[in-house]
Amino acid sequence: MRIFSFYLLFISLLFQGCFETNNNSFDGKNISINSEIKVDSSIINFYLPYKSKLQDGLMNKPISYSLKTYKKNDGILNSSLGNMFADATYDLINPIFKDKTGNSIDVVLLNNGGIRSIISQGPVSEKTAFELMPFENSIVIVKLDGNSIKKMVDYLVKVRLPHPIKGLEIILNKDYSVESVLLNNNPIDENKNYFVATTDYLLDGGDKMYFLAESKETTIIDYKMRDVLIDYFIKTDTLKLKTDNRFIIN
Amino acid sequence: MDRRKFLKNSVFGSLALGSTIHNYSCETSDLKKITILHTNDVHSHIEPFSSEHSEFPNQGGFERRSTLVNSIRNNNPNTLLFDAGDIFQGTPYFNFFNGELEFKLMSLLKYDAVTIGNHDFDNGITGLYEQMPKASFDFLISNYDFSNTVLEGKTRNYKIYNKFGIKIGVFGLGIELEGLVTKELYKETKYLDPIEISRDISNRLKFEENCDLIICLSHLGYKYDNLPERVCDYNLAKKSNHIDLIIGGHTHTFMDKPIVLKNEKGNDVIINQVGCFGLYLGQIDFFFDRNNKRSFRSSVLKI
Repeated sequence: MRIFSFYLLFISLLFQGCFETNNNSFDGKNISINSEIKVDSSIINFYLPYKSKLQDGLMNKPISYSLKTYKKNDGILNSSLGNMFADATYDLINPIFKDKTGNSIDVVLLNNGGIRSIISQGPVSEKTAFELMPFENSIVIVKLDGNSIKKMVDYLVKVRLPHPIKGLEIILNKDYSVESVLLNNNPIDENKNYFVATTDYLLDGGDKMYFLAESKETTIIDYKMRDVLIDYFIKTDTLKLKTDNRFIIN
Repeated sequence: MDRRKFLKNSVFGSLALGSTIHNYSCETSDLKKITILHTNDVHSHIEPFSSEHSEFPNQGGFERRSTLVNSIRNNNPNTLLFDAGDIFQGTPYFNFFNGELEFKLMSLLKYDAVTIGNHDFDNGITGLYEQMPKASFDFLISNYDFSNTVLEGKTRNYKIYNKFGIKIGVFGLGIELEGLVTKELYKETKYLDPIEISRDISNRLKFEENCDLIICLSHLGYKYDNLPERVCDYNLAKKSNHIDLIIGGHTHTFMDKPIVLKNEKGNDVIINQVGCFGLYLGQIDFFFDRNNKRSFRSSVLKI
């Protein structure tokens, strides 16, 4: 009898399985590719000539040192890595722009999505810069009036991403309404023109920052965003990056 | 082996051993298994991350993916391997070799098909066109109209793969390029409504081509929380009628396992996405009975 009821239990389990909707008949899993899996050396042999051509040795040479690991989303509306992108752009490009035009950069605006990697704690190399910024985008300076700058602020408030900015200080209330906006410690003057450093990608409509196309005058700086990073690393012995108050929720 | 004896042997045998039961169907032991493997957003990550990397030390790399794919294929020859786009851009390998190495390695791993991601236009539509001869796999994309571009005739709307007598219809969907890619790069490529196109294609795959399984390779992105109405895999799944599986990309979403939603008709649609950079390989096994109908597998019997 006991055996019989056991058999019944089994049969019921069996039918429970068989009569379930046939639509969810699959097994699925996502398998981590890690050092527990043996390497296929034929693949390594295939890419080795390419690797040598990359002059990997040179690319991996340390040009700076990072105190910690930094990411593009380690703050809510500004990030350690994004702030570095914006600050490095200002530091390296402003002297060139001044030389060229006699004017100064008021605002830097880049995009969070353009930061493609992290900076790991430890040595920083050219390869780090390639991973952070693989794109061939270059810096451009656009001249925007206060009205267009206000559109920029509206955009930043709407998308609520830690886009790299410098020169603006935006404070939001808990309900995301705007508490205050300052441009280099002053209110935005609609009758004034401002110089904004950005990339050709964003000027061409990337990330839908269409207000940049309202530029009254565009200065092309022949400097790739990646080279800004490389040169910033070279002149910075140790990277100590942090989030701050440039764009926050109160 | 007669059925009753088979059940008795397998089930009681396993119970006696105290182990779980795998691989036996309710009806017969001859269920056909189709394995779908997939990656997305590998972004030129040829090598594994270095051991010093803070987030992904020693993870990823074509050399390990190759071993994994080969062992799964050895286990089940009825396996297909797909990628959901953004193959290009992310390491110096792309800056220096323009995607040649990515396509050659994917051909060595015997990828069957890919769809096109926004970053696959990073060297322009011509840059993609120039690398295509190095790929032995199909480029499936049904909502980009490439008329008047160099890619005209180089991609397909869909393809049907026949494995074990099972007809597997596969098509691809790409994301809207405006605002994401500079126009100069994608040139005259026209973006068509992915939801509408996917209905047309899946109807065709189901009723004209009589496919037993319909798979969509999508670079639309899984879901946009700030923009709930935006076209994405989540919304595509809910508005679809015949898609069985959406293999996603673009949003770099790391899913622990595939998720299952209900389509317009109340049937299941699976969505899976494996983050980015070749850190994971997605695996989905489908089971079919001798009439090529999707069938329940005995994993419910795990005791």
